[in-house]
Amino acid sequence: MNHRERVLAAVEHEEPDRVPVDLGGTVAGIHRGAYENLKRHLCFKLETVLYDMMQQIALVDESVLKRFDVDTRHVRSSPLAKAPKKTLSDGSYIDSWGVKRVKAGYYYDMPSDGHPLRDASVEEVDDYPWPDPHESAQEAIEYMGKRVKYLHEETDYAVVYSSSGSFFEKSWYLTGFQRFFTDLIRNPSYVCRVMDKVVDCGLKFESEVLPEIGDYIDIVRFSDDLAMQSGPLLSLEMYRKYIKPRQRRVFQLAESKTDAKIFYHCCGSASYFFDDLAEIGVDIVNPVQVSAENMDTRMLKEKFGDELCFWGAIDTQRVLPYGTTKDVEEEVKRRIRDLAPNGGYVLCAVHNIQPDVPPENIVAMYDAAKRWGIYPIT
Amino acid sequence: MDERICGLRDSLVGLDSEKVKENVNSALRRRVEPVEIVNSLADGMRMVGERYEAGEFFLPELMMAGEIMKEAMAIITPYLKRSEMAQRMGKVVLGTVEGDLHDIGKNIVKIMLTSAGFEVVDLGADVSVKEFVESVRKEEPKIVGMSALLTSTMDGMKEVVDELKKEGLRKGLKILIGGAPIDGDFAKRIGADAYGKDAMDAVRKAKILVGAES
Repeated sequence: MNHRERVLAAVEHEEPDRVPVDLGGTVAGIHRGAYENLKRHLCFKLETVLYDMMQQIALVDESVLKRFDVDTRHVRSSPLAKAPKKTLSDGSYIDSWGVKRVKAGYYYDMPSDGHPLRDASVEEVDDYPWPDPHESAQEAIEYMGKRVKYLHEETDYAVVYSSSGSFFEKSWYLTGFQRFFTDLIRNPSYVCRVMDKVVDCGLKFESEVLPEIGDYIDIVRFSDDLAMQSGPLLSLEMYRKYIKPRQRRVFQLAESKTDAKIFYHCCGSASYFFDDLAEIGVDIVNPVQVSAENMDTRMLKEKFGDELCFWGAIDTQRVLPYGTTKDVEEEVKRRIRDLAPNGGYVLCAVHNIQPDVPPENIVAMYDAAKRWGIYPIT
Repeated sequence: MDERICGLRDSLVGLDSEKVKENVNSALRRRVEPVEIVNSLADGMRMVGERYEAGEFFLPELMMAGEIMKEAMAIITPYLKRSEMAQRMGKVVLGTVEGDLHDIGKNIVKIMLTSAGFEVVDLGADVSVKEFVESVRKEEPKIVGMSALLTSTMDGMKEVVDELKKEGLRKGLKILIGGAPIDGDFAKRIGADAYGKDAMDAVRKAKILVGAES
């Protein structure tokens, strides 16, 4: 069974030869700090290339991917250099949506004055200088078109494409969290106008990009965090009224342009939304944040395992940074035991591997996955 | 309860900001004791908190209620006597620790603490050990509240606790921490007095810390 077949079998809820593993991209990647340590540990003399500015994620070199026998390869629509629209003298930058990002500690994040629509009226939303989806789509095709074709035709890896389909988060990045969340009650027309603008940009972009790359990708990734550690951010009622119909439009467009499976990333206590997500076409959920409320893997498999494939689940909050290699191995065994029977599981860390994760634990995770991930799972 | 403010609590729980303002203004016109109005609003916030914990309310409702409370307090505060202000819960110095810009959770805690009657000095996000210590010296709060989202920054909380001890400021001062990666064990380990699981829990713990609740 080759890499692509292995991943697709798992996603189709069939048992592959072994549990597939992922590393790379912007939700299953590795922070450059952890990557530096890992390279040193593996004695790989490689230059670190930055893959994502905001999260400070490294591009994982082929030699590292091969060392861990990673079954996927990731593509994103824009090169890093395109990410900042404008770099400011203090090192902070304005991203392509006009949101300000400031470096603090390990990442870039939004300062309280970074939200350009924080004080805007509904009418002013229309006048905002929205990114030009046609222009960015052409750039994206130019940037990744050849690579996806190559990955599909010349390699046997499962190709994961990070789409532009996040709109809930982008919307509150623009308005600020406080304004967005209180206006869901006080002034929903404003919130809806912003979301529609963002959704429209994404749909126009993907309606140009997906026809060009759709045949070469196996998985199309969407992301929007709807939950936090302790529970969902908003009620199901509000989700169904304001978020779900827009997600449906986004997923429907993807389904009309590609056969790739729909992968949805939502941090935190996400299980609250799983039934609804499955209903509108989500095939895969990530990162399966096991440390959050109502994310017990045995419960998840029992309740949602027939509908959803789980992608992630190795605890980044406690086990990977603070556990021993033995703890990591036990964690891998436990998640495989809970999630992998009958397929439906791709193993990787919950979200990107953080700088405080020792390289020994990263190696232990992938080695254990290979050792204990052989089907049939006992 | 004074019948002239009967509707106040319920209009807050109903998240109707116009009605709350209307009720507050009308109560003031009818010479209801301002403290009674505040108590009624606080009762409403308590109910909002209960609904949040019961899973009936979520962040939008919680944050909306906090905003309405803030607007209502802006109307009432000029009518409150100095002594009545002093009776409130006490001062909290609050911030997200160094290297961490994640202030959404901290801001919600601030709203809820303020609504519960605490005076909050908000140091913002990415607050250095030195800034925490200096603020404690200057503000003489009853509580220092620290927040972190990242496992890689949460150890900064210990540095603040240690530094406060070193500077002789720890005595009589309570330390309350919270944030996604934090738990009770961590709080104990670094020498904090309490851990708030979420904003509502933080308020409950803060009240216990200042002896307003047991």
